[in-house]
Amino acid sequence: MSRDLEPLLSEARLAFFGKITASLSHELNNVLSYINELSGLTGDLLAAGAQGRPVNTEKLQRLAERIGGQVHRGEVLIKRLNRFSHSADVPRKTFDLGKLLEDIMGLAQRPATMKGFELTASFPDESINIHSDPFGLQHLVFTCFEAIWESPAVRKTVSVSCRREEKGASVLVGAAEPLARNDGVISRLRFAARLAGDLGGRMTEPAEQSPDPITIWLPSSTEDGER
Amino acid sequence: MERLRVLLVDDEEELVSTMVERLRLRDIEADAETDGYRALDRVMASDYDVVLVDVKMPGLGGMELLGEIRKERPDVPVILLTGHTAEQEGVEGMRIGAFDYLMKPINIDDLILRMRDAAGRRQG
Repeated sequence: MSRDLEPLLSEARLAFFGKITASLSHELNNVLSYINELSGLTGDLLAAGAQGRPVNTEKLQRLAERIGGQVHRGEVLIKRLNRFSHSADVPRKTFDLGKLLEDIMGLAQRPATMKGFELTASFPDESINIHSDPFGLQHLVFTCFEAIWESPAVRKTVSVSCRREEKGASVLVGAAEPLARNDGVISRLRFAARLAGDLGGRMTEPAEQSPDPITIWLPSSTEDGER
Repeated sequence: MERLRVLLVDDEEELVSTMVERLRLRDIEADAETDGYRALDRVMASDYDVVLVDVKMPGLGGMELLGEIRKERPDVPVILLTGHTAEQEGVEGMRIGAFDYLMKPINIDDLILRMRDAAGRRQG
């Protein structure tokens, strides 16, 4: 990436970080709200019991289990947030591509739902380790999601897969329908191509009216790439 | 005191159904809806004293639903629910006609107080 674009990229990275953490904090707040209501209802039922109404112990048990379920949901979110935050610790490291993609899909779940989209994944059983910028790659994949979300669609599904290539790996991000070429889609695809280049890889977008996915080509190691 | 009739709208189904249960235990006639468009249909077809709307919902979002209710049923007060970190949305909502806003997690007694206040002003 040319030097004059670096400040723009830094801004975009920060904006991406903010978008993801804001979404996660909203989800965590929802977990707290659930727990607040479930524990409140437990208290209501116990208070009614203290006033002589029969206490339904099975219902109390179910409420306790639902609270436990929300605590687990919160734990998953916090772990996801923690991994995401630490993905920006170092500019390059070796990581399992499939696991990283699972992470970004988890992080993108709520924004996707808000746009009415469903995310589906299909990853190989084998680990595909690459040496790259994990934060930058998540930014790139999320930008591809945003490009697809900008395209009007009836079938609102985004599929993600990855595979080993001779000199690295590829990530495929596909829409259920051919992408429209409106300003939102075009600008995001262009930006995604720049991000791919910054990772030493490249991105190919589907031809107009083509059902092909967006394909990101990544070198095994950023140092081997096309930077 | 007259029995309140309220509609709670939030895409988090379990959350909204639990809130409804708690309100019913307090002798409030509460219904739940998880979709903004269906909520609008219910507001048009029924006579709620207050509608409680979560700001962040897929499809017809909370702000859009507020706008539609203000247009179609300006007599029905709307209280917005926002995330704890999104106070600005509540303020913006009041600018475009919300009666009030509350930040999640909410206190049930505070919620009832505000709903009664909204219903009282509607009748008064």
